[in-house]
Amino acid sequence: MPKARRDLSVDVERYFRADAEVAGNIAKTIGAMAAELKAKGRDRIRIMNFCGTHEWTTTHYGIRSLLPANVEMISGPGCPVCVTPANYVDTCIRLALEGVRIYSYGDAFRLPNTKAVSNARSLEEAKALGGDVKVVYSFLDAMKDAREYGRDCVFLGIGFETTMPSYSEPLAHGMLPGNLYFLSALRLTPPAAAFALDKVGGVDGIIAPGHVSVITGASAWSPIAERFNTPAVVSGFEPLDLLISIAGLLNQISRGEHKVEIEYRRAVAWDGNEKVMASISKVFKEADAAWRGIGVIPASGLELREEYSKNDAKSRFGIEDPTKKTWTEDLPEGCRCGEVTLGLIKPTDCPLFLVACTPEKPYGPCMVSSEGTCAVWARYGGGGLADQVAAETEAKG
Amino acid sequence: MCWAVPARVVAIDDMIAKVDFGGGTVREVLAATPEELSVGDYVLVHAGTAITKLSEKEFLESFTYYRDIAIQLEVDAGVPKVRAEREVDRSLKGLLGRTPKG
Repeated sequence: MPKARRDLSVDVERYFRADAEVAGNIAKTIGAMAAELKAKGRDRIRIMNFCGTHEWTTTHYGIRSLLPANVEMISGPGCPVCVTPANYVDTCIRLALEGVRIYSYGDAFRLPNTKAVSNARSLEEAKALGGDVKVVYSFLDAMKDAREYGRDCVFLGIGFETTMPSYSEPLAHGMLPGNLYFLSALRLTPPAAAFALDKVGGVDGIIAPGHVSVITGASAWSPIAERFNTPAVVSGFEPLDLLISIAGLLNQISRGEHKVEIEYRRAVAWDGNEKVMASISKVFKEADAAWRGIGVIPASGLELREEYSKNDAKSRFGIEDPTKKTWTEDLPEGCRCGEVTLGLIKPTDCPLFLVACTPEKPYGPCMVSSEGTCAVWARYGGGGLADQVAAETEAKG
Repeated sequence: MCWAVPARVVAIDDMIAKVDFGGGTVREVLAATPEELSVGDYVLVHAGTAITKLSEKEFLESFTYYRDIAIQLEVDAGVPKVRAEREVDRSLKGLLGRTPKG
């Protein structure tokens, strides 16, 4: 009889979640390392993540409350929905109300623009006003629907590297129907990470995004570790993964190293998924790109190459991207999502947080997606910070 | 947005794989893994696309990574290596030893 195969999803539960004692022992190791660093005068060790799911795990499982006082976790740009320029939302609302079918992921469906377009502030509101908007699970589903529908459709193509293969593979293999136009809002993580590290300054360690690195390979983080003299560990998404990655970073920090290491070895390799990296560069080219609330970051976005212009929503509908010269602030008035995204402030530093901006009624983009830093903090608090949130909201009524 | 969930391949037809997420959820996804998929493989699925095969062999390698760090820390503190290994393995409750083999 063939041997029964392991059920890896059950194993995740068993090994990475169900063992409080192992987690406690790893936390103790972290405590010992942090104490040693403190004895050497390191009173503030700042570790930055670049993935909304890492922030979700950190906050949801209260990782911050397990960490010693001199270890701080900062949330960096890690949510593609949060940084999607408002002009794409405006354009999609306008097209939806003109009868073009818009496909969106659930995350972007509620993304607010800056000023209402024909009384709609999001695709959700455009749909309520009769606009043709469909929320889909995948690009594959949109392709099927578009083929049956037969008329002009636009896919709002948000995403970081993790999502890119879902677009590049069908495009490279000519699987798109002629009536489906792709609106590229694709953004590259390493340039944004470098931009944020530069702005925040003095970051001691990097938790590199696990699923982005599945595609790019861990090697994508080497130039950043080099440039900022900062160790990086590519981490998985279970709470134990993060604790182990923090231990790995503290170990490198205490040795004065700045290597890129892989903790998430069950999914990430040094070289990444070369097959899809090839289709990504076949279909897309790098371009300067606007990040919402932040501005234009050089070579941080992807645009369709000329050969694929027949499926390009930007050329079909004359959609223009903001340039360094034309970019204007695209956050709603008073919203500080740009600073939250870069890790310059915490959500609790924004006067609107949980006062005029809540998960039920988001005002800014970081409160919309389940992985926006503000949405994560609003839903799950975060160890001692949960108390801070509670205290602040009570004080502000 | 960058979340990916493990699923088991139940059928494969060229670029489309049918995967089982458990709990009765079976979906067609795009196969974008570098290697050919076979029925029974575990993949990570993101936005309807299988982006990598989960390695059964390296499933607990994260703990190996941690084990090396923790042992090094003990050795640096003057603990003999054999004792450090024993202590760290005890703190991991024999997790690496009880790995079920594929």
